[in-house]
Amino acid sequence: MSNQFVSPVTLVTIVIGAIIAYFYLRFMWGALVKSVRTRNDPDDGPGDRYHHSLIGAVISVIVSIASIAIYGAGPLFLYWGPILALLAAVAVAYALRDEVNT
Amino acid sequence: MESITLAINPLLNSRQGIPIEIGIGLVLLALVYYIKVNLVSSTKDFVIANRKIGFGFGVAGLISIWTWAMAVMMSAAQTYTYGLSGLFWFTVPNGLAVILVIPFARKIRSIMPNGYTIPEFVHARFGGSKFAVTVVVLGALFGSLIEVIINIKGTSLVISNVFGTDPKVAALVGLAVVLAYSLLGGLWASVSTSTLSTLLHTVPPAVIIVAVLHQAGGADAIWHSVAAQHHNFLSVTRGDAATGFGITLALGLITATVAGQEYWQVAWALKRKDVSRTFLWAGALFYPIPICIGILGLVGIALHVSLATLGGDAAAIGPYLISHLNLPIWIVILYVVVILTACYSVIDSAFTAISSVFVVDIVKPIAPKIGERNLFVWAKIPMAIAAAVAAAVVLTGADFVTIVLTTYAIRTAILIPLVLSLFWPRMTGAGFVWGTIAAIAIGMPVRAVYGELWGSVTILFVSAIIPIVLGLFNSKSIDLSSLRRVKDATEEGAIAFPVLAPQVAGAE
Repeated sequence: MSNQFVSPVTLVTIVIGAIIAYFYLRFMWGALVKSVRTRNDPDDGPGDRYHHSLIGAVISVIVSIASIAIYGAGPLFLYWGPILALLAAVAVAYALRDEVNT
Repeated sequence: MESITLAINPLLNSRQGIPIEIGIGLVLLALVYYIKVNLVSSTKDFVIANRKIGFGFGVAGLISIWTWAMAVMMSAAQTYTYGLSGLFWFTVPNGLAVILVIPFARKIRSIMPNGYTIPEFVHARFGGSKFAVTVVVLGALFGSLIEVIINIKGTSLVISNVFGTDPKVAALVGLAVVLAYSLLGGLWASVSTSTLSTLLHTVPPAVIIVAVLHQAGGADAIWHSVAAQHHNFLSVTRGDAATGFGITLALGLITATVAGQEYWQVAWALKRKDVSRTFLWAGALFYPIPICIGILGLVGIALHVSLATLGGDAAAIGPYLISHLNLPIWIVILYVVVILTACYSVIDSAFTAISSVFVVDIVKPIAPKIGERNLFVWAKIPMAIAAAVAAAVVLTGADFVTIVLTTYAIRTAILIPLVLSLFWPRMTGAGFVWGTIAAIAIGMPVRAVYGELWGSVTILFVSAIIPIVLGLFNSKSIDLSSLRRVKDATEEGAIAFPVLAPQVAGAE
């Protein structure tokens, strides 16, 4: 193991991160191209009828509190932060994909 | 932990910082050039992205716009100072502040769909109260300018701490870089570069933290070293974190979003159907960034890094560790890129906010018949002025955290008057103006004498009670749906600030 990769766990994180980044950038480019293609289309779709704001807010706050508190439960949980950061990138990539497909 | 030696990475030198700043700028400039050619051809494109920002760009853009240098460096700093309680009080209100915008964003898009700025709303809402508009214009410009200053200080802090580069040169180069691409693309540039930045705020921190955990002796050694220090660093229930900064910061963060032009602007720029879920996802997906990077604070505690070593500034704990843990230089550069892009994305959104306030609330009222081409030029000028003012202020070298908290305290004064204006038809212009002024006049001295918390509580109380009392004595109320008559301010010939006739309560 070259010390450029620090440790096997770091190398695994780099590989997973690179895969996520590939899809993120692909969907971002797709969303950008769609924005250009539809720039003159009227925004005459349905209004804002999203009904999950409150429950979504409660869940996200609870998960964030638990994610911080869990660091105190043991050494292994210190890796939860990096996992959560990677999951956030996946979720944003999903949102970009949603924009491309909707 | 004693086997870990902290020493400056010998591969780092003062000539590396500036090329990294410029390199990031060139990448963003290439992206913005594509945006400029394909998406930006009018003032409306420039300041409000033609109200065509979709769900994905909205989520990613908002996350990055909200990820200040603070979120990256202060999450580690507060963890280093208070342990997990510091991370808790820094992180939880941060994401919640974005989510709390939802009812206000939804309301403003439904009652005033063609809006651009908070002052424009206040003017239409209070039938031409010039004093109220002036107060809000100054608040919006000042608030955005402070965001530029804080984040450019973040740029100079990290570049100087990691590479030893002159912080003043780093600040000036950073400002020039962001100004260059912001002038090209406005809000589209801000949102698209911010989307790229969000990728850089999530994946690279995961790699960096895993590498740091290994290099600092391993998660097991770090965790046990922190636990052995008996200061409840691994608990989220330390009261001193809440009273020391948590409650004040929470109030200020909520103010920064609910009363922040940057967020109203995005609310008006999103496609109508995406407003609520975009703010929800952005708030929820912001959380992992400080939660991940906050671990650097625990590593600082574990390695017994003293505050004196950091020059008395806890915000330097992240840059210090990254540059002193003998990490590969590419990881050091990656960390710098994370912070610089965080700074850049906030600065470009602040530039855009300043631009829209200047165009809609200053230029249009003075020259209502101004042509589209001239208006497009005027949209860019305030960005350059803001950059020049920020450069002048940063070169004086003021304290980082104090600037943040002071700005938040002042912005707190307009929070409740603004909320009442949106939801309470009897709210008056006098209530808005005097509530804001009295809150600052009374609250700031209280803050100076009794501290941040009591100052903020006083500001909120005074700014609420005066408008409510004046509103209860007001026999007239306005039909809020009449704000739909406000025309798109950047359209040629549109009358800026139509004055809406108040209607007798119950008449609607």
